[in-house]
Amino acid sequence: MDKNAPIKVYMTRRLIGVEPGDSVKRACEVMVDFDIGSLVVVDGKRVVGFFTKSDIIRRVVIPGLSNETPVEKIMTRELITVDVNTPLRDVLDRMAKKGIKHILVEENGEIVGIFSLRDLLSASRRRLETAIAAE
Amino acid sequence: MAMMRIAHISDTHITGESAYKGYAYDLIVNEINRLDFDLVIHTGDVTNQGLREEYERATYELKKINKPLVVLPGNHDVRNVGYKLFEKFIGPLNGVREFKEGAIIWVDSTIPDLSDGRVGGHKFKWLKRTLEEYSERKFKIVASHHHLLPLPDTGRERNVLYNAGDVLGLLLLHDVNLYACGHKHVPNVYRVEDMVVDNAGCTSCRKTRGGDVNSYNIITLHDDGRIDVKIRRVTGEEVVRSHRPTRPKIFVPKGERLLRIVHMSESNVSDRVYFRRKVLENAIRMINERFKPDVVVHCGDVVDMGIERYYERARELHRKIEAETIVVPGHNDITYLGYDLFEEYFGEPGIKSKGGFTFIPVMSAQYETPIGVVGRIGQEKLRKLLEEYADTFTVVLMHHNIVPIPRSREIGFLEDAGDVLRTLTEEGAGLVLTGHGGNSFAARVDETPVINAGSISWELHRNPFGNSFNVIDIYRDMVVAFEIQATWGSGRLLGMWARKPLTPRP
Repeated sequence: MDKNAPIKVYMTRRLIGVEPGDSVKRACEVMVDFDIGSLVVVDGKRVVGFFTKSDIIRRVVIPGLSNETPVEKIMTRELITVDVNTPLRDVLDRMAKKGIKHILVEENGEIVGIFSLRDLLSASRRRLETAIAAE
Repeated sequence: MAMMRIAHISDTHITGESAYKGYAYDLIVNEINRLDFDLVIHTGDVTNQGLREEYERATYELKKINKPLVVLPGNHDVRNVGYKLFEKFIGPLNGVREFKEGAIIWVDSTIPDLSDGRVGGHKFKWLKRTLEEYSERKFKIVASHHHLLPLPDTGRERNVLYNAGDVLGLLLLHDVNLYACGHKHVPNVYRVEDMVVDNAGCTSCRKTRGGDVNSYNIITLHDDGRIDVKIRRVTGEEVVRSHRPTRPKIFVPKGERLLRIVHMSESNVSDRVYFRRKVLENAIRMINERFKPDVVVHCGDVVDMGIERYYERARELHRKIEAETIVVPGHNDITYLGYDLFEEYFGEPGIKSKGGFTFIPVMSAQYETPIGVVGRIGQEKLRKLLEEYADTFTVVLMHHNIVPIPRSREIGFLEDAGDVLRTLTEEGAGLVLTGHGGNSFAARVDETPVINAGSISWELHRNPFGNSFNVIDIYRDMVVAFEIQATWGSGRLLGMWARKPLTPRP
């Protein structure tokens, strides 16, 4: 891991999303289908919102909202973003300060990627695999 | 609006001998001087043997170009310790030239007295640092002598960049817009993801391929991010390729998933310590219970060696896969008695149609060598099949990787990779799945996503993620590929591409 490399090297450059009018149920199906913990909300080509699995627990399940609620009602509208050229170290610092595990990455005012803490965990997964793989 | 126009020349092979065609050089240089170019790039093999007299003449010939010039060394320039003369007569072997909104970074990829290439450790780090430094520039161009992707019409795939996979990975991660190179004397343009790979032919060497003529390429950078590359031959014939990067890449899943493929490779079933039986069993359980694919594809090296005991174990383990399975042999599978055993235990792979999908297995493994080949007749057969099934979504399966794989030493594992890649891209194969090299990698070349699987259960792999397999989901308008960690089931996105429309049957 190179802490000085720009976040574009580590981010996922492809985003999976739903539309503002889609239901929370539909969003959950997409999350399960793609095994991802967050989704962007897209209006046309523009990202207008973002939410994570834990947002669904906090904003839908606990208050007892219907899973037919449109995602625009529960999404985060004020997006926390970093520029695509920000060094990894600064991105991690910002995530720690904001207490978040996912951050959106922008380039020229457009959201072009997402970085998640779990992107950094591949080495430990590999080590744990080796530890239990031996016969 | 055109922001910048670059003339890309290469392989001039300047010498007093007959290899050099002075009239072709003068013809092209006069044209470059006459037309509106901001810059000229020469991607190496300025001289024929790296000799002093050739460098002296080259200095004189290069002065005829009256535009700003970037020149980098080729394998011929560093023969006979020519790398010292290159620095003395021409300039630095590596460097950066900035321009408004962009930078050209050139890297010496040569190895003295060898035709193969390498961007060695120090240069690789320098390239990485330099790409970080110029990260914010709109246009990043990297230029080197050796080709990154196998080229058609070059005969046997060789003289490759040993770390082509690492270099390709690095350039893609840093959003490089264009890679310019020469070396094989074949002009060609590919698009890998959003990067244009621009190969110049030869400007003034006698050695052209298949009776081709001398040529140069014209690169045009546009304000809106579009890049055009025009191959211009001395006969006046022109071929233009244009690319505009798609950004952002957002996928809003619509409609049902049409097909789910699990793509694996290198089980390497054996009684050796490197074979991880538990990992394979876990992965198969996960595939059956969680992923429930429509088809499982195993791209070779089912066993570590072609012997009866291993084949028996492999069949026993793979029988547990509930979905329909297609297995193509890898080079390990056909060692010793493997040719016969593979057929006995897994059957000869054949065309399989499923809904609107056609699976086309290609035999690339050769007896007792890791080097694979499809062959000229095999290529023709593949082309005909892709034409025949053009109204379906075609999935081509083979063992050997065609696109270089990061962390693997590239030696041209598929002997005729250049011609095979052309067949696949020209015929617009829907998807190509391979499984050599022990690491996962996915990149779309032109319109065709090419995905390599890492090793599912062999400890000798090159994948920082560990043992893994891929899950590929096909929707009406998209193809999405994930890599799944074979033990823990955690996934990461390998790629996501818009599907091109199918050719209707006439």
